Amino acid sequence: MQRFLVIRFGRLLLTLLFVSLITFVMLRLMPGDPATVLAGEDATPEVIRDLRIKFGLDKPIVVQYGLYLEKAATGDLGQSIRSRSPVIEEVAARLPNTLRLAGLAVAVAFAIGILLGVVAAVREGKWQDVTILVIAMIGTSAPSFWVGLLLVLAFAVQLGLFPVAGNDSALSIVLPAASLLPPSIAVIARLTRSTMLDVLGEDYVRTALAKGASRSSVLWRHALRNALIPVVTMVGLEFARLLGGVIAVETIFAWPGVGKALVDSISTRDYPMVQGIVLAFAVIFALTNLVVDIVNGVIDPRVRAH
Amino acid sequence: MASSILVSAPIEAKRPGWLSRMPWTGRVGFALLMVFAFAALFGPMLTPDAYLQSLADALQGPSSRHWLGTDQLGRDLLARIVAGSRISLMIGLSATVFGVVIGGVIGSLSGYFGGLFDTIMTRFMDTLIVFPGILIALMVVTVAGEGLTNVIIAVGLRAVPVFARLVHNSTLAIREREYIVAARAAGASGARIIWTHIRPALMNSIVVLAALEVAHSILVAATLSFLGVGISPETAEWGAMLNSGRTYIFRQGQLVIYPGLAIMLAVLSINLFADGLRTVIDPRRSKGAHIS
Repeated sequence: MQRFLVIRFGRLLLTLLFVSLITFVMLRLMPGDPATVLAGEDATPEVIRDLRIKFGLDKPIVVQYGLYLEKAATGDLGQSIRSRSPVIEEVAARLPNTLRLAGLAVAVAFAIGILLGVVAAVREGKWQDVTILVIAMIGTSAPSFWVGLLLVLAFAVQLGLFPVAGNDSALSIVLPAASLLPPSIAVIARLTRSTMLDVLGEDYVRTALAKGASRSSVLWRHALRNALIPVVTMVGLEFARLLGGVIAVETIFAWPGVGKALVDSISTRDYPMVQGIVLAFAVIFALTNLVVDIVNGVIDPRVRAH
Repeated sequence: MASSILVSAPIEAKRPGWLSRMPWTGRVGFALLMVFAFAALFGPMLTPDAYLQSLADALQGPSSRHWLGTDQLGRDLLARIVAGSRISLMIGLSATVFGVVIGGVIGSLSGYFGGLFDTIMTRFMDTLIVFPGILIALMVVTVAGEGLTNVIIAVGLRAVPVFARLVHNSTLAIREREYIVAARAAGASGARIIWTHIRPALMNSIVVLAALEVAHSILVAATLSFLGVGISPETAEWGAMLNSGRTYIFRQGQLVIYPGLAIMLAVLSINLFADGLRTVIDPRRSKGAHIS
């Protein structure tokens, strides 16, 4: 187990190194010299030259990457061109909002998805099963930003039940979280259905029924527990996937998270911010993967062998 | 000899076509997909001009002249949605082809030859694959700039690790099969073995995955233009239409309903069709076909 952990942690660092390299190269490929962008429209050549020296832009690119890594390791990701404050602070101020939104969506999606999956498995081939599978298919096909717009139309514009945008009341999170749900519910319901069907065919389920255990107790206590193992390992992956959906949904609802900040930074060409947010995403994805791997390793010893 | 032909012929005739071997959901998907394909190919000839502005007719509800109403510049919404199917299908198909070709080359080379290239590429692809497609596409368009070609590349890059991983794993699995070893012993080059002996064995799984990836690519492309990145906001593209319609959500709700419905139906039709295709191509795996 220890060796397994060390290898996985090494991979995490490697992943982050890769991403930092990609974002660094990306920033250098951008049209326009960063110093010129930083200095502003009507800066004199002297100011630009000073800035180049100040930010080490006059050094060879490999040295620049080394300097960048050194700074990044201590949490210095440069400063936002728009707000002039450190990127790390800008990201840290918004990240909790994004994590709260995605976290709530994951929790609700698993509750609904597991319930639907169990119902579909128990009623295999009946109308309930077919309905749930069709709804799941539709759920994976609907873009979350469209679901978001429909929710705004129905609940904010027509009924006036929820705020249209922002994060000013406790109810503000409801519509953005709800618009993230459909694809996740669909994936979880299908997976629960298929693992549940596998488990319901097992000998120990038949044994439990033969011993006179009630149907509901066999279903919820014996079968579901085992069926949920593969489902639980999906939590991390679904969380990571939801963070992708968050980018468009935050933009619709003006939710003050990193997703909206990313889109804003791209449109205002605030490249240090773009770089910092992409790195933040990478850290979250890498950590989620690490946790998923460890959980898998704990549940299933065969995983550790690889 | 002659009798065996006589015996086998009726069996051959009874063997139903691939479309009728699909579950009904796959056939529904195929039919819907044909509607979109028809709209993409011939639609613009049958509808009013999708770019014709008429400010006097702006933001109208559905009428006999404009079946789905008009947008803020008085353009016919239905005509724009029909025109959008051409752009979306084109981006979806081209991006997937891009992903198949680049991912296929990376996956087969690293899977067949192994070594340091394999290690680096596998690690690299594993890193890329955990990123949501929209994040990769956003980054690429930010660097490469706007325009249809860049959008196709940006969306296609997202699919590269997906195909690279599939081809890599399958290549590893069959690399030591006897017929491959025999070909190697006969002096065939690596490239020849990959192309003539390994590629055909992978085609089925690539086709099924490619169908699913077309759907995914359409979604990512629509998200990009919804965020106002990549394609000019004036273009009759479904995501861009939703983005501009968003401003008028209080006045004309249909501007945010129908373009999204088009995205959903197009993606749904391809997903259903891909699911059906998997059942036809690989009936053994289709029992669990509903997990993807």
